[in-house]
Amino acid sequence: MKRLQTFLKALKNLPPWANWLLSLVGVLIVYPMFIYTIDETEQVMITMLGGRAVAMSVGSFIPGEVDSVRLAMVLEWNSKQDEPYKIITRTGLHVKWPWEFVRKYPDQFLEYDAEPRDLMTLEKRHLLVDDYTRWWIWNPILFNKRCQTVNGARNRLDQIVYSNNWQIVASYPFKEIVRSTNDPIMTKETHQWETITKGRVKLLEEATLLSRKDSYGLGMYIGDVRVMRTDLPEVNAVSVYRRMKAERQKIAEQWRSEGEAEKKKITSDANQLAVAIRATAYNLGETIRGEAEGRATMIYAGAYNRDPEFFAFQRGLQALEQSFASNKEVEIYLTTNSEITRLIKGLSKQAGL
Amino acid sequence: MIRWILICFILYFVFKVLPELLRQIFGAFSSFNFDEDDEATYNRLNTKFEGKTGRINEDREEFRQFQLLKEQKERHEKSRQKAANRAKRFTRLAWIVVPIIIGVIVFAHSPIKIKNDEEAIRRRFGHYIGNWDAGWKWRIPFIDKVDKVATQSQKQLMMGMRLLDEGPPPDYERVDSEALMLTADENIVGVERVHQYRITNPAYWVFNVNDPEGTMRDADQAATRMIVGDNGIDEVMTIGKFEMQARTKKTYQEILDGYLIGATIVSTFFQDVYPPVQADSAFKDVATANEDKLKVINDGEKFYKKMIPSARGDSAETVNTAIGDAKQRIEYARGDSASFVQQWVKYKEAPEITRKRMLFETLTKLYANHRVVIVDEELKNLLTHLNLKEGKGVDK
Repeated sequence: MKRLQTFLKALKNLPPWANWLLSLVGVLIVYPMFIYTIDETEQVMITMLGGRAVAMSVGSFIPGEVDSVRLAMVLEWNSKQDEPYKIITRTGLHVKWPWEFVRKYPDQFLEYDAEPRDLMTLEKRHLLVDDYTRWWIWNPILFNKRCQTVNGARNRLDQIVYSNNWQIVASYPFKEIVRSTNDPIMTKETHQWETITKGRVKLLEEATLLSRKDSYGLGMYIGDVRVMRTDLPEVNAVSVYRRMKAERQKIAEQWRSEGEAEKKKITSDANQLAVAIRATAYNLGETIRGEAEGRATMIYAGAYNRDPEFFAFQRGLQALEQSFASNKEVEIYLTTNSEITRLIKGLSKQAGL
Repeated sequence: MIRWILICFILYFVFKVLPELLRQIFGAFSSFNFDEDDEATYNRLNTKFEGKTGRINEDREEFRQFQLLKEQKERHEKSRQKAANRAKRFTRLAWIVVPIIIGVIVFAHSPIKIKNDEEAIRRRFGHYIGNWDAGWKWRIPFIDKVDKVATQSQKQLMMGMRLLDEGPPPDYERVDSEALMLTADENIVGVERVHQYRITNPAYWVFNVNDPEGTMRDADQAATRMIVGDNGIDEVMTIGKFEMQARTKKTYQEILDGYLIGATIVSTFFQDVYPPVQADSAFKDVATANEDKLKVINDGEKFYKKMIPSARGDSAETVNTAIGDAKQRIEYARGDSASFVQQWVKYKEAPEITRKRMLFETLTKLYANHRVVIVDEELKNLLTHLNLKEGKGVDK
């Protein structure tokens, strides 16, 4: 009691500047009770002493201006409420009563990146799908009612997005998830592509719309759900690598054998051509020789036919000479009746013997 | 909520402590205990002993007490006076000094420097009020929030690869987790890519997306994988690269625009497009196989180039030889015939004699070069004794 009294007396007797200081401190403490700000990246919900909500702000993706699309969404919802809330559209400085509490939520595209999950396609093939969701809070009061915090929202989002994705993926075959269009880049020699009915883009749109519908009532607006990766589960990946290797090996083998075949063709052509060339040459040569032989014969005949007897005589003498000339050892036996002995006899007679 | 209660508690204690502090510092209150009770006692004793001079015998205790109190009061008054003076001086100083301090703090937080390649996004109490270009600008501290965004500089986003060392030459490292993706023909290929982009709407960049850089990475994954998943591995690795860059850029931009992120992709480049390491050797072998094929065909052609000219050479030789032989044959024939004719002409002039002469000439040659044995005709039986076959003769 005494302390209180001294305390109060002390307060009364403060020097004037201390008064100012204390007043300033007081103001600094008190002003947030009457004033609050809404940043461009925020949207707020005003409650009575942390209990019932009385007002909320509408965020905007157009900095500094009112986003008419979002405003329309909020107004439409607000009109259906039993007690429509007060809607604040401006950012910046605002005033309030001390018993009104401000709860802030982000007014941005928020991310949600789930763990890669195993999904199954229509033909029961497995895919590891890693998708992300970009979403934003369109209604802070509703969001606060259903999810309370952004982290709480992520749990709900996970369930909604996963189940919708699962549903969509299971309704379509594998190729629809991997491919997007019916117009891939073609090279001349490649495969015929099967046509797809929808493709990844349209499938994701469907899944997004489903998830958006499911999460709209929670104050969340899902902008899009996109696939960051589709991978084959490890087991399948191994078999894919094996298949890729085998495909390439086949191509390599094909090229090598093409090369060999080409080489064989070239060499056999070469051989054939060489033989043909030589044969033709031989043929020509023999023809020439034959022709020459014929002419020679004609020349001989032309000469010898002038006097066949003389030719025979001369040829006889030549033959005689040549047949003996080849072998010097041969002895010649002459009888006394031969020409030479008769000649000798004749000549001796002529000589008078 | 709890925050406020805590603050109230703190402030309550501060209020309690503050006067004590002030008391300590300035002795604004008497360091001598001279409170209201003492004041009352003094007053009572004062009236009692007022005017009483001289010796006071009774109430000697009280008188002593009175004198003590009187001293205390005087000291109290003096110290209070001193304190009041000190306070006055301090107040005067404070009126000068405190505004100066506040002024300095405000002044120090006010100027903002915006670099040449930046733009600043300004908010007042959170409300967007506009942009500033480069230069030194003044702002209201603590109330105005200024975010600087590099809008002129061209930024680079590398996916599937990381810069290890700027070099030169620059050294990169692959990031398989970002690069490996599925193709339309269910193959796996790694795509390293680089995007050049600029922030064209800095207000969007600051406000609309919670983590702009992260969003850009995620959107790239979505766009690239969508395009690559639409095409076959051969196209991705070879001729389709150029077209795919264009498609990826377009899709990427569409996705980003959907987020109102305020960035524009200037260009997209695919760097290395590679097969996964598990199949790498098989892919390399295909290139080797092509080289092998070309080499083998080249060998064949070399063989051809050797074969044919050689054959042609041989054939020319054959023909030339034949021609030569043919000529020779004919010339010989001509020569022989000419010689015969000449002889015959001469022979015709004296046939009998020439015939005899020719015979004798031949026989002479014959007998000159060989051993001649003359045998009597009468010895008809001689032939049976001679072994003509063996060429042995009877030596006569």
